[in-house]
Amino acid sequence: MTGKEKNSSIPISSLLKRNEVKVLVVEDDKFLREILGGKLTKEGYTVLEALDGDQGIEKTKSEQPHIILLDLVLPGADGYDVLGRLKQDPEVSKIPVIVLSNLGSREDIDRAIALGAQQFMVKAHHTPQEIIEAVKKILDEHYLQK
Amino acid sequence: MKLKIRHTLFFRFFWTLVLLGVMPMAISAFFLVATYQSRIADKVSSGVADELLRNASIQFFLIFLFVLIIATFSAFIVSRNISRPLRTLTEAARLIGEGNLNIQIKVSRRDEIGNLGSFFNEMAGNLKEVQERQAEISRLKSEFITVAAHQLRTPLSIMKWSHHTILDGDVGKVPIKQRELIEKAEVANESMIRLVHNLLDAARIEEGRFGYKFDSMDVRAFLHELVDEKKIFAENKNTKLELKDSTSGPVEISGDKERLAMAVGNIIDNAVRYTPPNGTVSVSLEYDDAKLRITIHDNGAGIPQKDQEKLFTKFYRAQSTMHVETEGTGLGLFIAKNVVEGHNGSIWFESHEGQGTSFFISLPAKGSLQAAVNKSYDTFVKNI
Repeated sequence: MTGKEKNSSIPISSLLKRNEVKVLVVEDDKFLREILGGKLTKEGYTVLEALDGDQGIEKTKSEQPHIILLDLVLPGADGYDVLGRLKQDPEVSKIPVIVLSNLGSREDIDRAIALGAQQFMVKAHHTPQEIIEAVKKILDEHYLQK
Repeated sequence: MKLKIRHTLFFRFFWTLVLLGVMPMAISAFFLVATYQSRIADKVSSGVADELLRNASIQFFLIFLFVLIIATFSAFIVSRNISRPLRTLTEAARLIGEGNLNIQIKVSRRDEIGNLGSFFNEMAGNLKEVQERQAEISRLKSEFITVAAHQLRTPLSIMKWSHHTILDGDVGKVPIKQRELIEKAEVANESMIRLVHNLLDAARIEEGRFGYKFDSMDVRAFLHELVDEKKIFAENKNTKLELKDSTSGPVEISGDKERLAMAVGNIIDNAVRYTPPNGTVSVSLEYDDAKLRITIHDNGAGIPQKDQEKLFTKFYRAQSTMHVETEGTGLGLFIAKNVVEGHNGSIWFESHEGQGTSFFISLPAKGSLQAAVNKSYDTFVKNI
């Protein structure tokens, strides 16, 4: 039984209380990672961090997070690469991914969505609170309403 | 290329040659008749005289026929020799006018027309070089803007996120004075973010990468939604924003909702920004069979006459608004114009200083939207 299957049978609200909802933040900028990580921790999530694409894939496989916040411009394997590889891997392909980037042209958005991202958010256009709301909403849709 | 026969080179050469051929004949006939009258008429019998005259007229008639045939033939050869290369050059000039500079005219003649052809080739070559250089400069400029804008977005998001983390009280209670300052800083930061966003859009428009996704949409619902959304912004500026809808049901068009919201939204934003407090901005929607028109009217300061023609250019802001406190980026109307034209629509305005401005957006109704014509730029090769 994979971690995802195990988690999906437990209501997300009860998981939240036990600090068991794991959010993986793949972001190379230390400051942005800290702000977002701090906000997520405060909201009761367990935050996992990855500094580049390869680390992101590695942590996804080892930790089985419930949701991934993925930057696109990353050292080494870029976000598209990571997204493509994650969605091809049946072990982790069901984990929802929010792309969080400062790219944001139509081509970028279409490409990320086509690769399987749940949502595309331009960092400069959203406050940390809005990102938390998006995380909540997607977790809800993904794990509760099934 | 249709020309009236009276204006062709052939016609002109033909008449010149006919005149040149017939004139000596006429003179010779005149002298012959004169000589006959004065010297021969009384010396021969009338029978001989008649025969002579008949002979002469038959001769003249044959010469005239011959002249006509020769003139037609020569006019055809000469005019073809001149007009064919001219037609080639005309066609090449037309292509240059349309922007296609891939032109090769093979010059094999050494006369004036040959010279014209050589200079034409040289001109097309130079123009092409200039065009390529400009395209390269424009590409580099857009690339620079794109890179710079992305680089700017990271520190701007750091500032935005920091401001909001502080304002949310995540790092402790914020005294009111400090809160006010951070809120002001965030307003400035937001206007920078908007500028970067618009710069990226403008760069994409110029690079031709500003793609449209056309879908069936109801303009009526779209406009109601957009105006409702903008009402908060207008209220903050103490401006009344109203929607006058003269349609009775859904108005379906084929359009890119997101881009249209940006275009119409930019114009509403401008109208609200440039209208003094307690002013009114009204948006109206009219629709009759073939055309749909959105009008955004304000009773603000108006646009000075001298600023009007530059209004849709990038970074242009009317002189009179320079000292008014506004947070526009100078790119809104440039983007709006491109979006509307991308929908095969048109945008224009009427403005009177001191009375207000009306912007008109006209969009084709569903079905009449035509795909943009792609010009082919094959090389034009011809001999002259």
